[in-house]
Amino acid sequence: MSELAKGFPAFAPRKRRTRRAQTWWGNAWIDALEESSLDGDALRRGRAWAHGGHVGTIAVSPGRISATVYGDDHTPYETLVALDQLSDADWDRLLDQIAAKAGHVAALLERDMPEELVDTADDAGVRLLPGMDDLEPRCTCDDWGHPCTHAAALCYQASWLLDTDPFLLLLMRGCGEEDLLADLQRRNADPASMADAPRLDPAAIDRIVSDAASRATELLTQASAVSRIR
Amino acid sequence: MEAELRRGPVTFAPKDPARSGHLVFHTEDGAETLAELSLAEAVPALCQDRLPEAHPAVRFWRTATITALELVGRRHIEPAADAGHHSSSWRLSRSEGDVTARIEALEAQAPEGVTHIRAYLDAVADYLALPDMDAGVRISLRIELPGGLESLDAAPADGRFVVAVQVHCLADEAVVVDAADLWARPDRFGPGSRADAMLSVRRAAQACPPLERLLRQQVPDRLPLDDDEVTDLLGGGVERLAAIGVGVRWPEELSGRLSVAAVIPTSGPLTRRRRQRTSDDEPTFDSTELLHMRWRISLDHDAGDDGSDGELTRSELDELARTRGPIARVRDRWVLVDPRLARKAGDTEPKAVGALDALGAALTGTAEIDDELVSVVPTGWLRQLRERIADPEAAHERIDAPAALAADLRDYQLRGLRWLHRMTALGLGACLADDMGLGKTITLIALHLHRQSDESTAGPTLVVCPASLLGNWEREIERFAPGIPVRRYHGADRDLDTVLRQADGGFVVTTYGTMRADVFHHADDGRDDDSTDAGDEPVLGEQPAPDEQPAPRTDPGADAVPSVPTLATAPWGMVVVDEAQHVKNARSKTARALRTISAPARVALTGTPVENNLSELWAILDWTNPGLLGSLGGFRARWAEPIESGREPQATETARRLSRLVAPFLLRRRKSDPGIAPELPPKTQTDRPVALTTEQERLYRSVAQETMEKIRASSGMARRGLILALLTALKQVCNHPAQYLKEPLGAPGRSGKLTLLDELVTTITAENDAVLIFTQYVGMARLIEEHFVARGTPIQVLHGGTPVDQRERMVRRFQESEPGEAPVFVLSLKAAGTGLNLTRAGHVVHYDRWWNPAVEEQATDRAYRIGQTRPVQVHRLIAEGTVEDRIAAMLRTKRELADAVLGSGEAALSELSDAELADLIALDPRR
Repeated sequence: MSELAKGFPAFAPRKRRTRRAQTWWGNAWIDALEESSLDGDALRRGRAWAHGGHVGTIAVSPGRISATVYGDDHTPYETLVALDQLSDADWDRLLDQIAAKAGHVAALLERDMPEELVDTADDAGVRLLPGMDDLEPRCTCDDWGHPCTHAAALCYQASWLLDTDPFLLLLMRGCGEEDLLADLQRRNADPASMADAPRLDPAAIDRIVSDAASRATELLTQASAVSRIR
Repeated sequence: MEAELRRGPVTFAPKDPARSGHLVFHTEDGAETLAELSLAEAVPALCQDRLPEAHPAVRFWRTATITALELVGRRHIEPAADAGHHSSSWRLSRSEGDVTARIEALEAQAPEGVTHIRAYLDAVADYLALPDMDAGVRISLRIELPGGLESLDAAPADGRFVVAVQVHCLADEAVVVDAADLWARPDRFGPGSRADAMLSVRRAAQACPPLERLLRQQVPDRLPLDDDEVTDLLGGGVERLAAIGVGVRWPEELSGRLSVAAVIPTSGPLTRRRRQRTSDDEPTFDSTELLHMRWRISLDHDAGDDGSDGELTRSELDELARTRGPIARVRDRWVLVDPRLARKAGDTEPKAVGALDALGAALTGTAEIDDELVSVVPTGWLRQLRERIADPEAAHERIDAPAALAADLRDYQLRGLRWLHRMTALGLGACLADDMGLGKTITLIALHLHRQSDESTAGPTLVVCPASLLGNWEREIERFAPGIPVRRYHGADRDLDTVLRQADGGFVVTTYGTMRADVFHHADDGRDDDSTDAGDEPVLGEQPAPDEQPAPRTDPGADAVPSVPTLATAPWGMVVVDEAQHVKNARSKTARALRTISAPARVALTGTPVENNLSELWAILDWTNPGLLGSLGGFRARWAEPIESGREPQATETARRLSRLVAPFLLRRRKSDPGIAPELPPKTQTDRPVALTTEQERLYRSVAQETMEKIRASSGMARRGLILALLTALKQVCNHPAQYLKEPLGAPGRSGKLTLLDELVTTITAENDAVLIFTQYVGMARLIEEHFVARGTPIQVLHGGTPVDQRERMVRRFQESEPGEAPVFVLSLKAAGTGLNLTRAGHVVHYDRWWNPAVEEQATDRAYRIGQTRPVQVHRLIAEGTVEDRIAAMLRTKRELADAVLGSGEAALSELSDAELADLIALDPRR
């Protein structure tokens, strides 16, 4: 799945400074960052840089989010924040849990992540949102802060991205939106029908073939009528 | 198929699923894409066209399409093998030898550059097998009664009701399946349909919380509902679901329907005055009255043989009021009970309704009571009143044109007069919004004269209009009501007391600016008003700054000299606002000033289609009938927002109700109406007198004085040359100071004519009509262009120097473009030679006078000529009290003499004596 990656253009500087994200999951992301930080100054500066447009194009891919972050003297630093991917077994349990409720699938389709969905995942032993120390910052700067100002700035902007699209979290956890939705659709299908789903029943096939044949015949009649008139 | 698409190469772009592939049509050289057609578009188009002279690729795809159709017609299709768990894709059979042979034969004919032939054939097969897939779905809810009616007889129990989700195919509304089936048979509507259905259920749950439980299920198909939840659904949930497009079907067994209506007024009148009225009285209207209202609840389709209309008796209502839960037994039938209706059944409190609200409810047939839309049954005099005013043009009264009116009214004008009379006699205001040129002014003059014949309605009429129209009002009144006094209340030395005494039983005309200045005590001499209230227009929604709200002078007692009448307190018999769109912003000073003026009758005149602009409509009708449409905020919420939202069917339904509410108060006829057009003369000429601005007056005097001195001192050719130069100079000053001074346009409001022209063009373009503007001067044409370009009105200018090909382009653009794209065409008179056909214009403006009627006629006939089916209105702008005015008067009164004198145009004037010339050009702006 390593070819899965999404890029986002840099955020322009923002006038209105907000400490928190817009959504509960965006805030959970910020909490994970702030709770594991030992350096309040780095966080403050990181927040100011996030609002000040110090972060370049952001790339999101399984296991990581990365960007070039520019220091006050415009020095570029390659910054990334790593997050553990889920194992195949984790995904399997998680998707089963989500697909069991139509509402979860519908919520995700509307770019919403119900708290209940995350709780459900927890029950299945799958941690969806990062907790304390789950976000692992790496940066080409010399700063010993954990995170450094650059990584903090990236994380704050990441929370804004998550606000608009919770699928990015799932992407970092290892699964892209398209695969995920296709899988969910498959799992959500009526379990009773799954047994014979691979093949349509003969009656249905016959009905579809007959309908198609009569549509074709009707169109052909129109085509030959045209030929006669002209 | 469009001819353009036939000419270039076509390629097939396969997609997944196969039926979603596109045929891509290119330009003849293949360089650019013209269109991408889906199979639903391309297959019928290719079939229904023999494609003469088409590109080889186009003809090939037609052959390929027919091949695919023939194979599918012979049932040679099969489910595609590799479609995962369930087959949601089809293709041509691979096993049939016939198929393979046909495909190979087809491939052999393929022209160069054509690929993906097999993919296309499969795509057509897939499309024919599953044409409705991918079109999207919507849901509806079906309420079931699994235990049947018998279950209702037992004690209430949860789960008596079940809601089932149904899924409708948007491509074919006839196709409906239960959600349960959609999940069991995913091939039904296509791969995205379950996701769509889930999203719809999620939205439905937001409107109706009990449905959230559906979302906790893996398949959101069915759900037992307890009685409280069904009650919630009945008590508002259904409406909230309908608003997001989710219908609810109730069990057919529960066929009885209870309906509720407000009956207004009930027999008992609330106010003393009403009690004195007998049924023979004319219904009149007093907006301060309070009326009784009661609820009427009936069982539909239960109009008994005994003549009862199904209305429930008191004891039945009491029983209904005691109902807890969603169903009740009424007259041996199970019926669903809306809890709001049950509350009304028990509501015996008398309720009062304001007369204006009652009238609005009677007209629309509905009222919003406690945030709920209920139907209304008007009774007694309220019903009579509604019937009397519902159709503005119904002939209830036989009043005729007043004898004092020096003109014949056309039929529609007489209908307008009767309507205005009916409304004002009832104590209601009215807005006459006929197209410009239909004669609103004369109709209004007739109304004034008619009101003078009855002592109770007699009194002076105040006309408030833009400054540019003052002269027009005076002349029309003098012309159509000779002998009726008309006085101008305008200018620095205005004196209302004198004006009122002189205008006894007649008209007082004033401007918006003067009225504003008077009411707000501004140190404004009223001369400079620009006739619009643009200057003091706050942005809608903004509160005016506190210093902009001096107390309007409504209380004469607060004044030093109480006996002096003010505009607000003078004993007007009627107040008329002309070009009422100027008060479209109710918070502007102009509108607030207007509201302080009291009068027993209020009439608004406007030529712009106000019904298209809801806040404008509100502002005008809120002046003519204060309170009728409620507060602006309330009006927005109840009417404007649903209508402008475009959400159907609410938008159309709300618009229909609003038009029923407004129709009695707003009469708008168009020139093009079948009932109107035959009555109009093919060509109407109107002189439009307009005052000079202060700057123009000053300039006019100094030019006249200087040049007259030179003329007196000269003779012969020099003298004749000076006279012609003088006339030209004065005409230019009358046109625009900037034209004479050869300056750019400068500040707005420098020229009375240009201000009036702006008014006319605004109205004409608002009516979607077009106008030709003639001037003798290229310089003036440029200034007009500059003015309209600055205000964003598309304008074309044609003059003697315009090259022929460009002329033709302009004429074509004027004649053929969409309404509003090129509505204004300025022509210098000399350029308008023969060969121009400009019949698109319904209006012709002569910005300045040629003083040669023949030349003007010829210009006018550009718009009005053989083949022209619509009437044309000609407006001649004349600067009041100037040489233009005097020559126009000569032309009007002594046509023959004028022909003799002016046959050769201005040259004849150069023979005048000094004294004659001085008389001719003397400025007398206050006639």
